[in-house]
Amino acid sequence: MTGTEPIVTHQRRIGFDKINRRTHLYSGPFFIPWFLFYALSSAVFNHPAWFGSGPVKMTPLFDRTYTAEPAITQGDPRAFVQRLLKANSLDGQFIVHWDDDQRLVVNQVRFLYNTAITFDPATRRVSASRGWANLRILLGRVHTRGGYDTNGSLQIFWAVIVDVIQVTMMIWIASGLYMWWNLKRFRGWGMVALGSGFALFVAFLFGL
Amino acid sequence: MFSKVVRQTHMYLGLLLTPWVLLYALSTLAMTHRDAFHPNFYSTPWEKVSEQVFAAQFSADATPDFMGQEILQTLHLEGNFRATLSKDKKTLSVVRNDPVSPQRITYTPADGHLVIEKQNFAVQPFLERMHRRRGFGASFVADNAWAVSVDIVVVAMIFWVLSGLWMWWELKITRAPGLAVALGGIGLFIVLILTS
Repeated sequence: MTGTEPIVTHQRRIGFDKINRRTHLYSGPFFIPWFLFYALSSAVFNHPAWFGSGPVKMTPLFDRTYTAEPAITQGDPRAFVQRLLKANSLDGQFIVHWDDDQRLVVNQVRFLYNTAITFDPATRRVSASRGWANLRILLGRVHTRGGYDTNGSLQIFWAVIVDVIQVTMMIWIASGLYMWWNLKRFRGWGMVALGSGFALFVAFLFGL
Repeated sequence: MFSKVVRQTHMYLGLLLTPWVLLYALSTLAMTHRDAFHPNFYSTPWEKVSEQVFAAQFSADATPDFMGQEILQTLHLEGNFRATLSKDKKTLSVVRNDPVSPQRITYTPADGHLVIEKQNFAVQPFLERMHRRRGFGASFVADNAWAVSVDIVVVAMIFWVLSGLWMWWELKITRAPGLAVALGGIGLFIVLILTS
């Protein structure tokens, strides 16, 4: 009995090692697109001048009259705008405000494009135009979208994925540290790298 | 030999940049779950540290940035800051963007009065401040050095992806399931980009 215990322990360790390695490996390929987008968008944020900052060119979508219901002229317009958008096949979350000319100005932002809608209660005309995101804008949108303060199942799903990626990053750290520690010949230099990283980071905290 | 270099670079870069990866992971969680932490941290109260009189006076055309820099230098608080002059030009607010404990100096040009305040350290504001800190062009070496570190993290992330793919491809037993996982991720990403 006593002779079998170390073998069982050894087998368990091998089993855990394998799970650890496979977790580290397989979680990588799945999140490659997100990881690349976060890397490239961070480069955009760190070097904004390299990527330009011109406005998006808007292309007219339609200009028509909305007569399905009486137009509102003041107050909270959200319910009205929701119906207006649905009637014009522009469902989904939006941001709206009254402009200085008492017109409703609505903006819908998607990853690939944004749609600007204007409704004039005086004439009941609703017009929409759409601008397609360039790479800089797309990267920025992917980088900054997250959180659960949103509508729509896809948006919530995206927020869940963002959370899972952060947890995965911590798993990569933990599983990576475990694999490194088990490679005894790399412990010394690994310790130097790890220690240097933390020392540099702490130096930044006090130096910034 | 190439494989060995790739593997060791993947590992040592990971070890060196562990604090950054941890910072970005934790800060993203803190931002996406802001309500669960400290929803109004931007309004964290300022705590008075001291008051004093600033001996020198500024010319009428002195810019807020110039005044801020001089005041911080006098107080030995040099570093990244944001200076704002009130609309009536009666007070200058200088916020020293210290990642651990930001300080605010309110200067009244009429009588040279300085009020020095600070915000106590709190985990979530600290994480968010560090997450958003980036960009070159600041006049402080530490800021530009931090921007270099952000660039290194960006390059490392791309390297981890490429080297990870290389190491995965070397393990024949994991090729098929790895490919399925990768295609699943790419497919899901494309669907979400196109539809949301």
